[in-house]
Amino acid sequence: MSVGSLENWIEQLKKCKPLLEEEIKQLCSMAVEILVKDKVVQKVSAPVTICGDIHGQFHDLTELFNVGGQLPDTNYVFMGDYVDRGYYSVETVSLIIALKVRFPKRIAILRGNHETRQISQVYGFYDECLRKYGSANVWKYFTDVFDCLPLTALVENEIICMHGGLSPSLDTLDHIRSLDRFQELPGEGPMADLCWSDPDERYGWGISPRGAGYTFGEDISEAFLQNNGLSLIARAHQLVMDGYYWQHSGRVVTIFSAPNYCYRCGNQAAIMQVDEHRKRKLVQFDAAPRTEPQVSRRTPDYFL
Amino acid sequence: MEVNGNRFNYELKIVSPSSPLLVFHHGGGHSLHSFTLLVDKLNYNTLTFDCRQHGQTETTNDADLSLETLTDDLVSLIQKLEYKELVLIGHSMGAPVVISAVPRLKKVVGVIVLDVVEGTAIESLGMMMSILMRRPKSFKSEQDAIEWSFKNGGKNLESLKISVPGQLRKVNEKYYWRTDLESSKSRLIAGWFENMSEKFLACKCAKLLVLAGADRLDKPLMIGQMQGKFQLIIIPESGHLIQEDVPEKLAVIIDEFYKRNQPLDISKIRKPLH
Ligand SMILES: [Mn+2]
Repeated sequence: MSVGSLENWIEQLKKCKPLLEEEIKQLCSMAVEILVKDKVVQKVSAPVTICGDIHGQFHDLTELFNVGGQLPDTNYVFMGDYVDRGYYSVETVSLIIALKVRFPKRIAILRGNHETRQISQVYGFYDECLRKYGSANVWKYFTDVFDCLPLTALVENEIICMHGGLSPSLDTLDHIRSLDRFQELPGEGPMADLCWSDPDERYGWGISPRGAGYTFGEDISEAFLQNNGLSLIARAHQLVMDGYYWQHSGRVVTIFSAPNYCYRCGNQAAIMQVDEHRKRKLVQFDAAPRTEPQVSRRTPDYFL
Repeated sequence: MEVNGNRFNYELKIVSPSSPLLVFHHGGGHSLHSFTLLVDKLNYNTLTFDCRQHGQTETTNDADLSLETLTDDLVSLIQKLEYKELVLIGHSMGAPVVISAVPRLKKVVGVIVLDVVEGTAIESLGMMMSILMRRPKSFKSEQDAIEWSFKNGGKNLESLKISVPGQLRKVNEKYYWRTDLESSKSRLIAGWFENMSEKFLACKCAKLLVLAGADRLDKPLMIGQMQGKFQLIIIPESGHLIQEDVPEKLAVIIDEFYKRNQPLDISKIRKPLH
């Protein structure tokens, strides 16, 4: 595979034109080779831009790159949830994976709770693959890549990034490093917690209303950061109306990068830029102007 | 059970004094038999009953199917019983009723909504009314009605054999629908679902929404779900009658939901690392 044809794929994907099934197969096997070398705690240097959920909103991802800068001039950490719910999960995840293959040292892509077979089968990605390729092969190639995604990124030994949050089984970075991540995301346990948990105003650990992961209070965040010599937890996973949301006295920031989520939630999106002096800046952006395909929610024919 | 001069047909199953009481409210036109197979598979105390103008329940004003009255009925029935904890489960039209009852009852630890969402229900109201108008007015036999139901949405014949007779009433050798849904004004039906999403999100207990087929949340539920305010489970292989189509699966879901929402024991949630 030459860099030239990889460049061609990226150019095509940037126009929101999906690759052929055979090309996806090739791309995914290259991605697996690269991703297996990434660590469970993937080290990242500043300057870097940290992003949250995308959920198949391709045109908003384009807007994100317009606002945040193009690769390889800007380094990125994406914190998962590339697929499901939006109309262009295939194009979105193809582009993100192609960029990872093209610039492996410039972009870290983490696993979200939607980068799993179980979730992506019911929330849209599977159906979209069937619709666009006529078979589930492409979905299988992608979900094999998902099994290799790292779970966390560590920016300059200061900021720990993950999709969801902390786990009662993981007190230290070494605990996280000891995880065997190459598998379908389990429904419970430490791997699931990293992808599912949410920060909460209540102290201590709590039952998650989501039915997976836990809620964790400021005391938990404080202890984790202190034990590991860190200053910030950056995570995604929750829709926040301004695109970002500070909690736990500045110890936790939620970053959500899908504006007007699902084409109807009316929220702004944000990304966090960390410059070479490790100064942090949150940049908001709105949904890209566009004409979406007619929003056709499947309505039930009977509901009594 | 007698409540305010009304006689409610019910089934109370007690398996243990320590079990929470699971209370089920069926949807429009159905009866307690919609839950028969599900309840069989649950090792919990359960209450199922026929709501007003449904099944074998007889009331002084059968015509009153307003949300307020249905909620009063449910609350009064439950208040006649002793229980340690409550989990309320509503299917379809039963969902707004259980949601409205939550703030009026003590010791509610969970609420489960089966296959209804305010936004999409109100959106498809017109279509649903015409489906109601088109259904046969009567059947020659219970068997005919079961077969019709199997062709029109029900996926599990074993369930329909139990549930469909409960929806019928025999008059002069013919079987008619027990409940007159056709004449329910669409305004009345829309009234059942109004603000249901907000009221669901406002419930202080654990919340679970189980949807059949596909993801079709309205805006408040989409925001709530993306903020992690409730649990959502989608069962693609099921039709609208989740408790009848996949009773085994739903029994496991209800059991896990109750157990997961027990008070946390921190020593048990720390998983050993390898
Ligand atoms: Mn997520």
